[in-house]
Amino acid sequence: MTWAVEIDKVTFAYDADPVLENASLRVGVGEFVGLFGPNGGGKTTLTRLMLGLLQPRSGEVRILGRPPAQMRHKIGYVPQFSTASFNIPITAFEAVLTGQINQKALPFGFGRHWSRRGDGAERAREALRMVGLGDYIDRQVSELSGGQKQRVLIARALASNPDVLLLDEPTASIDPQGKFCFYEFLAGLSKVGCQNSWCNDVNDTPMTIIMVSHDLSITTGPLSSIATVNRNIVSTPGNTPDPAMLELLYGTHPQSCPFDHFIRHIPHEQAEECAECAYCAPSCCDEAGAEYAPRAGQLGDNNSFAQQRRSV
Amino acid sequence: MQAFLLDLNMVLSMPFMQNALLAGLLASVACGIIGTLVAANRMLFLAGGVAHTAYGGVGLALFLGLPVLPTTLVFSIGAALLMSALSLKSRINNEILIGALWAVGMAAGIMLIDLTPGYRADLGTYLFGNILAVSGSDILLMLALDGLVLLLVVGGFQGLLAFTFDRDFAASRGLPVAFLHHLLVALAAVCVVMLIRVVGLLLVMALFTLPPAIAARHARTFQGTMLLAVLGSGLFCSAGLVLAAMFDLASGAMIILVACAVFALSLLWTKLKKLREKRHERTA
Repeated sequence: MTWAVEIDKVTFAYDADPVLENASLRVGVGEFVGLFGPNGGGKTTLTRLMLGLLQPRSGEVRILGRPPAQMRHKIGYVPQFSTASFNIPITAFEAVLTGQINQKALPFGFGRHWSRRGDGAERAREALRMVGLGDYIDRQVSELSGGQKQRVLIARALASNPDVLLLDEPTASIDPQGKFCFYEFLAGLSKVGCQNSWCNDVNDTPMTIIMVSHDLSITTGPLSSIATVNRNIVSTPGNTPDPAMLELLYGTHPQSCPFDHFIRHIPHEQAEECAECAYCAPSCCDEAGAEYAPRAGQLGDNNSFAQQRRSV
Repeated sequence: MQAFLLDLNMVLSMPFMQNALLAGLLASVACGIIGTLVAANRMLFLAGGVAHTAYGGVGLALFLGLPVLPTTLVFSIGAALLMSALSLKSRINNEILIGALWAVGMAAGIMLIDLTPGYRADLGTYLFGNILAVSGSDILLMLALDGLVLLLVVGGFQGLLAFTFDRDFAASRGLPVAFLHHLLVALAAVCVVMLIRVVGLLLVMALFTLPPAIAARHARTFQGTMLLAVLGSGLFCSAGLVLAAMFDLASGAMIILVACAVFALSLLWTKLKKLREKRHERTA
């Protein structure tokens, strides 16, 4: 079977300290994966590895069975909202057209990548309609709201008809609820693929979606699996983080720390059995689930998680 | 009014003035286009560094007795590529390095001119421009450089637009973003050299930033911004040169002041327009 994304024992370092060490992850075709990690945990590095912008020191990254550099036309990348220059004079339509840059044009990026007429242009308009910006096609991007700008970037990725959609921190500027059902929209894509006239040929290929975020609140979305990255990768099916993931995300806490109590009360088969033991003897925890027995002296940021849960 | 027209007629009939106007217009073509790209890519500090380092090239040309503009062109492109390579290495504070090169380039230029035997150049000629000095060969060089800039920007427009709008995304689609970054900085060096005669090295930055800034406020497309910046820059250069000649004032400074005045008017215009719209809303 060909995996949509296969990260095989990848190690990567910018200098001496590895950012990722022996990290592995497999994502099947049509999955909708949430990829979490603390800041500095290697999320962006992992994204850049999947895009073929970085090469692993050891191990291998494959997109649909081939090296990422060969599969650029199959990957739709939605970068962090802040990377784009929304202040330049450019319409939403033109911004989406830039999604059709192809390596087959002349060398060094010269030549024609897209046309304002024809199939490509129709795809760009269709993609804007899909994300609910049909009325804003000829609007300047500088005049759009933050959430609308974010959707322009999603439309740009969709206009190139990707098999794998990679979103980096997409929740940073989502419109207030009710305007655009972001997760449901993405989940729809992953289930049925693109349903528009222009992608008949791939109508039965579901889109694989990987959403990278530091924000655990997106686990409320209809994810098919979640993974955490912090030097290593831990993944689990479903959208409930397990204790091993939480440890990777937030570190472990001594039992006197209220956050430790909180982590233990996250619904989990094993954790439920051990629900009482937040204040009991350590030996009790060891029996129930040795892998999340607390290690003393490692205090993490105990506010952010609680706040995120509350916002959920 | 008649006296003014007579003056104007006299000024325009002087051959050096015709050369100067032509140089201003030719420089405007390249600067309007590249200035728009440099500003949109937030590379103005880099361009400033390139502009000032060019003085080292001027010094080198005088010291070695070589033709000034071609030598400065080669030197500036070299310095520009060095700075642009430094600017891509984000791990060290590249602004410090560029700032240092900026000063080193100028200092080297001053030293070399000091060391040039029997030559006491008027620094102002290169720092503030000298329209009397525009020669026929300068015009030819500028014509060739305009051709190069137009060829590269028209041929690579879509790639440059994608690069400018979102560099990370463009890289993910396989666009050679590092190459385009170097290309833009090198083209900025080309513009600087073209402007040496017209406004001088120190005032280059104003002509590099003001026309694109005004254009961006009124254009709806990126191409439109470039075109408007070219037209604006040509207008400022021509008006500045004519006014300077008529009132016997420094031409480079006059050009910049004209540009600044128009920029201020443009700001005022949008402000007034917004106010009127607001009042309209209130009455409606």
